Amino acid sequence: MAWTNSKVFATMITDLMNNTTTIDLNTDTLIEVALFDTTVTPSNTVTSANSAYAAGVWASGGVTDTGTSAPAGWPALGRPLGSVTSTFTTATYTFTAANTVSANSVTTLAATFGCLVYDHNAASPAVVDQGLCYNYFGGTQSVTLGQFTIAWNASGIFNIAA
Amino acid sequence: MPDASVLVTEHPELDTPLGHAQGAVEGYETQLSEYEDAFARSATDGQKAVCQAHIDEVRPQLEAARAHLAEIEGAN
Repeated sequence: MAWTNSKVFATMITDLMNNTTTIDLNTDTLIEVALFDTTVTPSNTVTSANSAYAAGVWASGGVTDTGTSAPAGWPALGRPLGSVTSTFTTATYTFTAANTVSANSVTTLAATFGCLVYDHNAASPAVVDQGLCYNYFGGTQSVTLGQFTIAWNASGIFNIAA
Repeated sequence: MPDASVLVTEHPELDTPLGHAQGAVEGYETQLSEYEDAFARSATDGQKAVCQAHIDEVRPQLEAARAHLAEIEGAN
């Protein structure tokens, strides 16, 4: 199956509603964006534990900077979101951030198909590094000795209609 | 649920030992700065602990990258 679309994890919403997660999208300071190849077949109906970074389908298939400066440009655990906003406007909740850019100008990434956005502050006793959503890039993306930028959709990293 | 798009800018002129070494320093400096900023914004001990772990991990990598860059600059 591999990547075909972008989804928010259903358990993330349920856990937030039921107060069974330590995720706080308004204040958490390290929400990471980890890259993955096409061997991953994401599902948004997995358990909270299997939505987490390095768990479930996210335990393999990670893409990291393979340039000489590896992994300085894009570490396996990801690049952090900056300028995060978590707001509700006109019947739609939107979670978004500034575009996420590789940490240097000599990043090399091969066959990247999408990313896992997860809360690196999410911790025990709830799920550590719990996933928020996964975002498809529309096909294979790569860069050789350059800057790799994820341009988040104008509708947000994810949104939920009320 | 919106997909994301990707923008790429390549710099083949940086495919030199000096370019790679400068890139490594740039990458670790960026990472360290972001983790230190996240630490400063953290309100809980848990958030601070996660940030501090990464600061402790990246700082020696940055020092090693700076030492490597100095070697290359010295050789030039």
